[in-house]
Amino acid sequence: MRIPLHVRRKFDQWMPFISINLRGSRVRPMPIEALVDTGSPWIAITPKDALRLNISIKHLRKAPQYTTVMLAGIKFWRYLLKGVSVHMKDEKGGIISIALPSISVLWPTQKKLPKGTKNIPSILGSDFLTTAKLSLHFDPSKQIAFLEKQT
Amino acid sequence: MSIPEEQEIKRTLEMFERSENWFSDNYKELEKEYLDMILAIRDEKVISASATIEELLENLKARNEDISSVYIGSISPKGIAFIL
Repeated sequence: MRIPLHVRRKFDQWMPFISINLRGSRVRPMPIEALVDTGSPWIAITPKDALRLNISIKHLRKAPQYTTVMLAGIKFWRYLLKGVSVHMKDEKGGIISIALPSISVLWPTQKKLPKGTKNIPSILGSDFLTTAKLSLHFDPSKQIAFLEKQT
Repeated sequence: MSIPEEQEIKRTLEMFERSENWFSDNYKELEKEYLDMILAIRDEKVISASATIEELLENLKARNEDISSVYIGSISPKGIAFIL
Protein backbone atom coordinates (compact mmCIF):
# COMPACT_ATOMS: atom_id res chain seq x y z
CA MET A 1 0.00 0.00 0.00
CA ARG A 2 1.35 3.40 -1.02
CA ILE A 3 0.66 6.92 0.16
CA PRO A 4 1.51 9.43 -2.58
CA LEU A 5 3.44 12.56 -1.55
CA HIS A 6 3.43 15.96 -3.25
CA VAL A 7 6.83 16.88 -4.63
CA ARG A 8 7.02 20.65 -4.43
CA ARG A 9 9.62 23.14 -5.59
CA LYS A 10 11.07 25.15 -2.68
CA PHE A 11 14.23 27.25 -2.85
CA ASP A 12 14.91 25.82 -6.35
CA GLN A 13 14.93 22.22 -5.12
CA TRP A 14 12.33 19.44 -4.87
CA MET A 15 10.95 18.43 -1.47
CA PRO A 16 8.34 15.82 -0.43
CA PHE A 17 5.20 17.09 1.31
CA ILE A 18 2.08 15.34 2.55
CA SER A 19 -1.44 16.51 3.42
CA ILE A 20 -2.59 15.11 6.74
CA ASN A 21 -5.67 15.53 8.85
CA LEU A 22 -5.05 15.58 12.60
CA ARG A 23 -7.72 14.52 15.06
CA GLY A 24 -7.65 14.66 18.83
CA SER A 25 -9.55 16.09 21.77
CA ARG A 26 -7.57 19.34 21.80
CA VAL A 27 -7.35 19.83 18.04
CA ARG A 28 -9.65 21.60 15.59
CA PRO A 29 -9.95 18.86 12.92
CA MET A 30 -8.62 20.14 9.62
CA PRO A 31 -5.89 19.30 7.11
CA ILE A 32 -2.36 20.67 7.21
CA GLU A 33 0.62 20.25 4.92
CA ALA A 34 3.80 18.73 6.39
CA LEU A 35 7.29 18.27 5.03
CA VAL A 36 8.43 14.63 5.18
CA ASP A 37 11.80 15.06 6.87
CA THR A 38 13.80 12.09 8.13
CA GLY A 39 16.24 14.61 9.64
CA SER A 40 13.64 15.30 12.31
CA PRO A 41 13.29 12.74 15.12
CA TRP A 42 9.59 13.59 15.56
CA ILE A 43 6.40 14.64 13.91
CA ALA A 44 6.28 18.30 14.86
CA ILE A 45 3.55 20.90 14.51
CA THR A 46 5.01 24.37 14.03
CA PRO A 47 3.32 27.58 15.30
CA LYS A 48 1.62 28.43 11.99
CA ASP A 49 -0.33 25.16 12.12
CA ALA A 50 -0.69 25.06 15.93
CA LEU A 51 -2.59 28.37 15.72
CA ARG A 52 -4.69 27.15 12.82
CA LEU A 53 -5.49 23.86 14.57
CA ASN A 54 -6.40 25.86 17.69
CA ILE A 55 -3.90 23.92 19.82
CA SER A 56 -3.41 25.83 23.05
CA ILE A 57 0.04 25.26 24.52
CA LYS A 58 -1.35 26.43 27.89
CA HIS A 59 -2.98 23.02 28.15
CA LEU A 60 0.13 21.05 27.15
CA ARG A 61 3.18 19.90 29.09
CA LYS A 62 6.73 20.35 27.94
CA ALA A 63 8.45 17.16 26.82
CA PRO A 64 10.47 15.61 29.67
CA GLN A 65 13.36 14.94 27.27
CA TYR A 66 14.70 17.27 24.59
CA THR A 67 12.61 20.12 25.92
CA THR A 68 14.11 22.64 23.53
CA VAL A 69 14.55 22.25 19.79
CA MET A 70 16.42 24.35 17.22
CA LEU A 71 14.62 24.51 13.88
CA ALA A 72 15.50 26.84 10.98
CA GLY A 73 17.68 28.85 13.36
CA ILE A 74 14.83 29.46 15.82
CA LYS A 75 14.72 28.01 19.35
CA PHE A 76 11.44 26.34 20.32
CA TRP A 77 9.99 24.72 23.41
CA ARG A 78 8.79 21.22 22.63
CA TYR A 79 5.36 20.42 24.05
CA LEU A 80 3.61 17.06 23.85
CA LEU A 81 0.07 16.70 22.55
CA LYS A 82 -1.28 13.30 23.54
CA GLY A 83 -3.86 11.02 21.99
CA VAL A 84 -3.75 12.24 18.40
CA SER A 85 -4.50 10.37 15.21
CA VAL A 86 -3.13 11.22 11.79
CA HIS A 87 -5.22 10.57 8.68
CA MET A 88 -4.02 10.59 5.08
CA LYS A 89 -5.07 9.36 1.65
CA ASP A 90 -3.62 6.28 0.02
CA GLU A 91 -3.11 5.87 -3.73
CA LYS A 92 -6.65 4.50 -4.18
CA GLY A 93 -8.26 7.39 -2.29
CA GLY A 94 -8.87 5.38 0.90
CA ILE A 95 -8.11 6.90 4.29
CA ILE A 96 -5.22 5.53 6.34
CA SER A 97 -5.38 6.31 10.07
CA ILE A 98 -2.42 6.12 12.43
CA ALA A 99 -2.89 6.57 16.18
CA LEU A 100 0.07 8.11 17.97
CA PRO A 101 0.77 8.27 21.72
CA SER A 102 1.86 11.89 21.32
CA ILE A 103 3.11 14.43 18.82
CA SER A 104 5.43 17.40 19.35
CA VAL A 105 4.08 20.92 19.22
CA LEU A 106 6.78 23.58 18.85
CA TRP A 107 6.43 27.06 20.26
CA PRO A 108 9.18 29.74 20.24
CA THR A 109 11.03 30.36 23.47
CA GLN A 110 10.72 34.11 22.69
CA LYS A 111 7.50 35.80 23.81
CA LYS A 112 6.68 37.16 20.36
CA LEU A 113 6.59 34.83 17.33
CA PRO A 114 9.84 35.46 15.38
CA LYS A 115 9.23 36.83 11.88
CA GLY A 116 10.40 33.73 10.00
CA THR A 117 8.10 31.39 11.97
CA LYS A 118 5.33 31.61 9.38
CA ASN A 119 7.64 30.09 6.74
CA ILE A 120 8.44 26.95 8.73
CA PRO A 121 6.27 23.97 7.76
CA SER A 122 5.12 21.28 10.12
CA ILE A 123 7.19 18.13 9.87
CA LEU A 124 6.49 14.45 9.53
CA GLY A 125 9.58 12.96 11.16
CA SER A 126 11.17 9.59 11.79
CA ASP A 127 8.99 8.62 14.76
CA PHE A 128 5.94 8.66 12.52
CA LEU A 129 7.56 6.43 9.91
CA THR A 130 8.66 4.01 12.66
CA THR A 131 5.26 3.85 14.41
CA ALA A 132 3.32 3.52 11.16
CA LYS A 133 5.90 1.08 9.69
CA LEU A 134 6.26 3.20 6.57
CA SER A 135 9.26 3.54 4.31
CA LEU A 136 10.02 6.68 2.33
CA HIS A 137 10.77 6.56 -1.40
CA PHE A 138 11.94 9.85 -2.86
CA ASP A 139 13.41 10.44 -6.30
CA PRO A 140 13.76 14.21 -6.69
CA SER A 141 15.21 13.97 -10.20
CA LYS A 142 11.93 12.37 -11.37
CA GLN A 143 9.72 14.18 -8.84
CA ILE A 144 8.41 10.89 -7.49
CA ALA A 145 7.76 10.41 -3.78
CA PHE A 146 5.59 8.08 -1.74
CA LEU A 147 5.37 6.32 1.59
CA GLU A 148 5.00 2.56 1.50
CA LYS A 149 3.63 0.28 4.17
CA GLN A 150 6.12 -2.41 5.11
CA THR A 151 4.84 -5.97 4.95
CA MET B 1 -13.83 5.48 12.52
CA SER B 2 -17.35 5.76 11.12
CA ILE B 3 -17.94 5.93 7.36
CA PRO B 4 -19.34 9.53 7.46
CA GLU B 5 -16.29 10.62 9.47
CA GLU B 6 -13.97 8.99 6.94
CA GLN B 7 -15.84 10.62 4.06
CA GLU B 8 -15.56 14.02 5.76
CA ILE B 9 -11.77 13.59 6.20
CA LYS B 10 -11.45 12.60 2.53
CA ARG B 11 -13.56 15.57 1.39
CA THR B 12 -11.56 18.12 3.41
CA LEU B 13 -8.22 16.60 2.34
CA GLU B 14 -9.19 16.74 -1.34
CA MET B 15 -10.38 20.35 -1.05
CA PHE B 16 -7.19 21.29 0.80
CA GLU B 17 -5.01 19.58 -1.80
CA ARG B 18 -6.67 21.49 -4.64
CA SER B 19 -5.73 24.78 -2.94
CA GLU B 20 -2.24 23.47 -2.11
CA ASN B 21 -1.67 22.58 -5.76
CA TRP B 22 -2.97 25.92 -6.95
CA PHE B 23 -0.68 27.74 -4.49
CA SER B 24 2.31 25.70 -5.58
CA ASP B 25 1.57 26.09 -9.32
CA ASN B 26 1.12 29.87 -8.98
CA TYR B 27 3.89 30.55 -6.45
CA LYS B 28 6.04 32.60 -8.84
CA GLU B 29 3.12 34.88 -9.72
CA LEU B 30 1.99 35.20 -6.10
CA GLU B 31 5.55 36.05 -5.06
CA LYS B 32 5.39 39.27 -7.10
CA GLU B 33 2.43 40.59 -5.13
CA TYR B 34 2.72 38.94 -1.71
CA LEU B 35 6.43 38.74 -0.87
CA ASP B 36 7.06 37.78 2.79
CA MET B 37 3.33 37.46 3.49
CA ILE B 38 1.04 34.67 4.59
CA LEU B 39 -1.99 33.92 2.44
CA ALA B 40 -5.38 32.27 2.90
CA ILE B 41 -6.55 30.47 -0.23
CA ARG B 42 -9.84 28.95 -1.20
CA ASP B 43 -11.32 27.99 -4.58
CA GLU B 44 -8.15 29.09 -6.41
CA LYS B 45 -8.31 32.62 -4.95
CA VAL B 46 -6.37 34.54 -2.33
CA ILE B 47 -9.09 35.50 0.14
CA SER B 48 -6.81 37.23 2.67
CA ALA B 49 -3.14 38.16 3.06
CA SER B 50 -1.25 39.41 6.14
CA ALA B 51 2.24 39.87 7.49
CA THR B 52 1.65 37.48 10.41
CA ILE B 53 -0.34 34.31 10.99
CA GLU B 54 -2.08 35.83 14.04
CA GLU B 55 -3.30 38.77 11.94
CA LEU B 56 -4.44 36.46 9.13
CA LEU B 57 -6.46 34.23 11.47
CA GLU B 58 -8.04 37.32 13.08
CA ASN B 59 -9.04 38.64 9.64
CA LEU B 60 -10.60 35.30 8.71
CA LYS B 61 -12.44 35.13 12.02
CA ALA B 62 -13.76 38.70 11.61
CA ARG B 63 -15.07 37.74 8.16
CA ASN B 64 -16.71 34.58 9.54
CA GLU B 65 -14.68 32.41 7.17
CA ASP B 66 -14.65 28.67 7.81
CA ILE B 67 -10.93 28.18 8.60
CA SER B 68 -11.14 24.42 8.03
CA SER B 69 -11.85 24.98 4.33
CA VAL B 70 -8.93 27.37 3.81
CA TYR B 71 -5.36 26.58 2.79
CA ILE B 72 -2.72 28.76 4.42
CA GLY B 73 0.58 29.23 2.60
CA SER B 74 3.47 31.61 3.08
CA ILE B 75 5.69 33.40 0.58
CA SER B 76 9.29 33.41 1.79
CA PRO B 77 11.24 36.68 1.85
CA LYS B 78 13.48 37.18 -1.20
CA GLY B 79 16.92 35.57 -0.95
CA ILE B 80 16.33 33.67 2.30
CA ALA B 81 16.08 29.87 2.43
CA PHE B 82 14.97 27.93 5.50
CA ILE B 83 17.02 24.82 6.22
CA LEU B 84 15.16 22.50 8.55
